[in-house]
Amino acid sequence: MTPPKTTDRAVGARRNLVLVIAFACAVASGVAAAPRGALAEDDGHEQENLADWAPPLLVSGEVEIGGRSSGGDDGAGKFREYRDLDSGIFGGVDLLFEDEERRSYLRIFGSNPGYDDQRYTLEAGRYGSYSVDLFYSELPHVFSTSARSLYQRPSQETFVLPSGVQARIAGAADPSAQLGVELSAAQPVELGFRQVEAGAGADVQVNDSVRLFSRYRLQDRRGSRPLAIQFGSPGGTFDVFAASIDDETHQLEAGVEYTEGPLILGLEYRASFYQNELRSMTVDNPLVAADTTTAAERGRLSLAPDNSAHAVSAFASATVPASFPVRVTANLAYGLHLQDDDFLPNTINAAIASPALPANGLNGEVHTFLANLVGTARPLRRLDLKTRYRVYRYDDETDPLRFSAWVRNDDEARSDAVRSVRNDYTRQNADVTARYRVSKALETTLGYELEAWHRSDDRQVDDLLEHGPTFQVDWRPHPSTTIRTSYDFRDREGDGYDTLAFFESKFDPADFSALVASGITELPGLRKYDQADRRTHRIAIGGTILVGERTELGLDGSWEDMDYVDSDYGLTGQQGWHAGFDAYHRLHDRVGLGLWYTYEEFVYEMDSRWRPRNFGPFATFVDDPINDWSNETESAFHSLGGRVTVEAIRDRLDLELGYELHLGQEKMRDDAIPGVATAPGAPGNPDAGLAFTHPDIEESLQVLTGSATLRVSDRLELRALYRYEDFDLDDYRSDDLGPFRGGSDVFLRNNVEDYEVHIGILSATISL
Amino acid sequence: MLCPKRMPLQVEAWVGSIGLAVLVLVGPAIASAQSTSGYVGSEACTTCHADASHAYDRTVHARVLNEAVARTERAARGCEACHGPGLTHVQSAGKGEPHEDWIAFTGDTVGDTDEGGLAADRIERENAVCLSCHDHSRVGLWSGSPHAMNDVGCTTCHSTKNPASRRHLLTAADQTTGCGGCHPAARAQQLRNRHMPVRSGPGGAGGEGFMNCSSCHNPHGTVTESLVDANSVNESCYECHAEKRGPFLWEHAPVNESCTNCHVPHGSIRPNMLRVAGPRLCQTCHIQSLHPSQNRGPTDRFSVGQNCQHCHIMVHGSNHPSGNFLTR
Repeated sequence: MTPPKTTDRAVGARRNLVLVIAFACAVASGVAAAPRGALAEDDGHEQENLADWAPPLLVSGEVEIGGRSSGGDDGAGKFREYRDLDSGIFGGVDLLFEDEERRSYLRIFGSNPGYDDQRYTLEAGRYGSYSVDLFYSELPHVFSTSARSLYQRPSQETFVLPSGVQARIAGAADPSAQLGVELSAAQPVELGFRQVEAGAGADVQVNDSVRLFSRYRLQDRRGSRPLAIQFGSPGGTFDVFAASIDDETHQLEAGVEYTEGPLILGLEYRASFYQNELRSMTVDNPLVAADTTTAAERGRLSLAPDNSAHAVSAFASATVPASFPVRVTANLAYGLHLQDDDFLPNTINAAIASPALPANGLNGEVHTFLANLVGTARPLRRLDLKTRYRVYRYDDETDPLRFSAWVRNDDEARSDAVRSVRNDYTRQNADVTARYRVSKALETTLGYELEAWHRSDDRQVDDLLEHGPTFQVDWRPHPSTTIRTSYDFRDREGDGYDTLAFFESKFDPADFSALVASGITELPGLRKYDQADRRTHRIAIGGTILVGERTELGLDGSWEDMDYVDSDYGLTGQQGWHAGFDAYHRLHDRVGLGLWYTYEEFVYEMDSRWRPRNFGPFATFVDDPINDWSNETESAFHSLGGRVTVEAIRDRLDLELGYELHLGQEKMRDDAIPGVATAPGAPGNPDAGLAFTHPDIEESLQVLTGSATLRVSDRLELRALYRYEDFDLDDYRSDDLGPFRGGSDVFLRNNVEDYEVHIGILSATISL
Repeated sequence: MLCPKRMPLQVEAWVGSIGLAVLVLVGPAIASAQSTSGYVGSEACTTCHADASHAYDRTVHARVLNEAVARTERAARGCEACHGPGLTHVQSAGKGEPHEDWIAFTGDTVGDTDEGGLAADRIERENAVCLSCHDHSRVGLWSGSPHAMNDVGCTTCHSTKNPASRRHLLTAADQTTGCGGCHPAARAQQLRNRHMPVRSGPGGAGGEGFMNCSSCHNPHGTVTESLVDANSVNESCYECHAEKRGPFLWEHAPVNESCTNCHVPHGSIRPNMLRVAGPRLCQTCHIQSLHPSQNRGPTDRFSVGQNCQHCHIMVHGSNHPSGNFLTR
C-alpha cells in the first residue's frame, strides 16, 4: 500500500553506483571527445594518442556532482510531496555532443539520478533537418505520511478488516466505543503514488515546406490515495481507506505541416488510451458482520473505467492579398471519446438479489467538434483590428440506460427507476477588437465579446448569453515606461431557469410527478452559479517603469465583482482583488537586488436554507424561509520574495541570498438560522440554530536560500548552497482527524504535516 | 523580474567603445570586400560584437544559421539572417542611418519615422523576423493572440544571444520565473500549499519543475481562453487526468463543461485545489430537501475531511450501475 520509497541502504548504494558510473562515463566521454587543440595545449603526446581513437566530436555542457544533507522534518509528506531531497550523493548532467562541423548532435540530460524525481532526456538529430528524443522521468506525489489504517489489503482491489473485528463491533453493547478500541490498532500507511513518464518523439523537416512530427508518451501511476465508501442511507457510516492506484495512459500524436510563404497548413491526429488495472475497490464495513437486506458486510466501488479519445485537427493560416496586412487563421477539430467497460453487478450483498442490468456496458460515445476562426487586419498604420469566432460542441451520443431497479450503497434494494442522463452542450465565443494608436504615448483598445451556451434539456438553463465591452488604455509616457489599464463589463442572462429539469430527465414520469408532489427537489430559488444570471465588472492595471538605468519597477493589480443578480439561493456574489509590485535595482555593477510582493483577496457569498425532514414519510419535511442561512468565505494571501546577488570577486565568486514568504488565511462565517423549524418528531440536531465562525485556516511557507558559487577555472565551478524551508498549515478539517473521532466513521488521519527542514549542498560542476 | 545576470554597465561601456572604434577603422574595408547587396557577413559582426558572438555560439541558432549547414540562402547569412543587411551599419560604425531592412533587436525605434516611432511597429518588425522561420502551427495563432495584442514581442521572453534558460532561449532561468514577471498573481498562487509541481529551483536543490507554464499554456496563441493549449480546458486537464474523461454512466454535468467550475489550477489553500472549500462549494449548487443542507459546524462529521465526498466520492462521474448518486 505504501508507494515505493528508495531510502534503504541497498538502494542507496545502487543509486550511488549509478551516479559514479554516469559521472565517470560523462567525464571520460567529454575528455575523449574534447577538441584536440585543447588537449594539445596540455600535452602534445597525449593528444597524439587520444587522437588515434577519439571520435571526431565536440563536447559542451556540464556535469554536476555533489553531496546533499537534510535535517529536520525531512520525512514529512508535504516536504516530499513532489521531490526527493534525501541525503546522499546527487548529480546531474547536461552534455551536448556535436560533430566537428556542428551539423549533428546528441544531447544527454539527467537530473537527480537514482532518486524518486529523476529525469533523463536523450536527443539526437541534425540541425534544421530532423530530431529524435527519448525521455524518462519519475515524480513522487506524497499525500500524507501520517495516515493510519486498520484495513489489510490481500489484493489491490480488496480491503479487509482483521479477523473478528466486525463481529466484535457488531456484538458490542456500544459499537461506537468498540470501533474506537479496534481502530487504536490502526497501522501507519503512506498515502501517495509514483508517476513515471516515458516517451519518444521525432521531428523531420522533409524539405523547406514540409515537416513531419510524431510523439508517444506513457504515464504510469502506482500507489495509494484516500478514498471513502459509504454504508447506509445519508447519515450512515463512511469509511476512508488508502485505495490503490495502478493505471496508465498512452498518448500518441502524429502530424504534418506545410508552409509556403505566408501559408501554413497543418494536420494532426492525437490518441489517448487510459487503462485502469483496477476495476473496483471492495471494502469491509466495520459495523456489520454479515449481509442482510438492510445492511452490508462490505461494499464495492467502481473505479474509473478504461477509456480512449481520438482527435483529428486541421489548421490553416494565411495572409490574405489586400492593400493592407490581413491574416486569417482557422482551426477545425473533431474528437471521439469512447468507453465501454463492463458494468459491475449492482451489489455484492449476498442477501440482496442483484437486479438485472439493462446492458453489459455503457457503450459510451462522445463527439466533440471545434471550429476557430481568427482574422486580424491593419487597415491603417495606427489601427489594428481583430475578430474571432469559436464554437466548441460536446455531443454525448451515448444511449441513456434505464435502471428499473438498483441497490443503494449495497444495503437497500430500490425499485424507483433511474435513467442515465446524457449532457450535451455547445459553447460559442465571438469578439471584435479595435486598437488605435492615438500617439506614440497613447493607445486605446475597444472590444466587444460574446459567449453563448446551449445546453441539453437536463440542465436548468438551455440558452445562456454573456456579452459586454472591453476598454483598455495603454500609456507610454517614456519608451521604457508603460502603464496599462482596462475595464470589462459582462452581462449574463439565461432564457429561464428550470429547477426540475434534471429530475425530469432522470426519473420516469410517474416517479417524477410523485417527487414534485412531495416537494423533495432542489430549492426553487436556487440558481447554480454556472448557469445563473450574472453581472461582472473587472478592472485591471499594470505597468513597467524604468527609473534611470538601474531600477525597474513592475506594477500589477486587478479588481473583480460578480453579482448573481437573480440568485435568491446559491452563490450570490463573489469579489476579488489583487495588487503587487516587482522591482529590480542594481545597487552596484556587482550587486543586484530583486523584490516582489503580491496581495490577493477573495470573497464568496452564498445563501441557503436548511430543509429538515423526519426520516419517516417524505411528506413530513419542512421547507420554511425561517430556516434560511447565509455564508461568507473570505481568503487573503500575502506573497513576497526577494533576492540579492553579489559578484564578490569579479569573474570568480558569486553570492546569492533569496527569501520567499507566503501567508494564506481563509475565514468562513455562517449566519445563524433565525428560527429553527423542524419536522414534527424530528430528532434534534445540536448544530441547528447556531451561528458558526469557523476556525481560520492558515498556511505559511518560508523558503530561505543562500549560495556561494566559486569559479575555480573556466571548467570547474564549486557551489555551496543552504536552503531552509518552514511550512505550517492549520486546517481544522484535517488536523488530527481520526482514525476514530467518535460515532461510526473511520478516517485516515491523513493530515498535511508541518515541517521545518534544513538542506545543505556542496557540489562541483565541470563545464566542457 | 528578478532579472537574469546582466553584463556590468562598465563592461558594456568599454565593449561598446572599443567596438565603435574598431567599426570606424575596419568597417569601410570590410564593406568594400562584400557584395553590394548590403550584406557583410557574420565575421564582420564579430569584429565588434565578440562577447555577443561568444554567447550566441552556444545556441541552436548559431548551428542553423551558418553557411556550412544552411538549408536556405537566408540561413547562410548568419547574423544578417535576422538582423538584415549590415553594410550601412558597418560603414557608419553603428551610428549612421540604418538600412531600411536593418533590425537591431535592441528595443529602440530604429527605422521609424516621425509619423510612427511606435513601439508596436518595432515589435511587429522584430516579431516578423522570428515568425518568418518559426512559421509552424505552434505559433500559427500568434496573430491576434492576447500577447500579440498587448505588444509582447518575441524578445520579451526569448533571447537569441544571451538566454538565461537551458532550453527555449528564455530571458529568465525558467518559465515560472519568466511568466511570473508579468503574471505575479499566478506566480504567487503556486506558493499555496495545494499546487501543481511547478515551483522552480535548481535541480536536486529544492525545486519541483516537473511541470511548467507551457505544460498547460501556449503563450504563442491557442484556440481556447487563457491560452490553454488544447481544444478546451478539460481536454488540457485530461492530458494528465485521463481517468476523469469518461464518458461515465452517471455524469456530473458541470464536470464535462469545465474543470475550473470547481478547481483553481494555479494553487489553492483548500484540498484538491478547490475554488471554495467543501461542503460550501457543493452547497452553492445543491439545496435538496432530501439532503443535509444546514450550516453545519466545524466539528460536524459532514464538514471535516473530505466532507461531501465521504459519500459522493465519485464526484467526477460513476460507472457503477447503482452509482446514480455518485456514491459507488
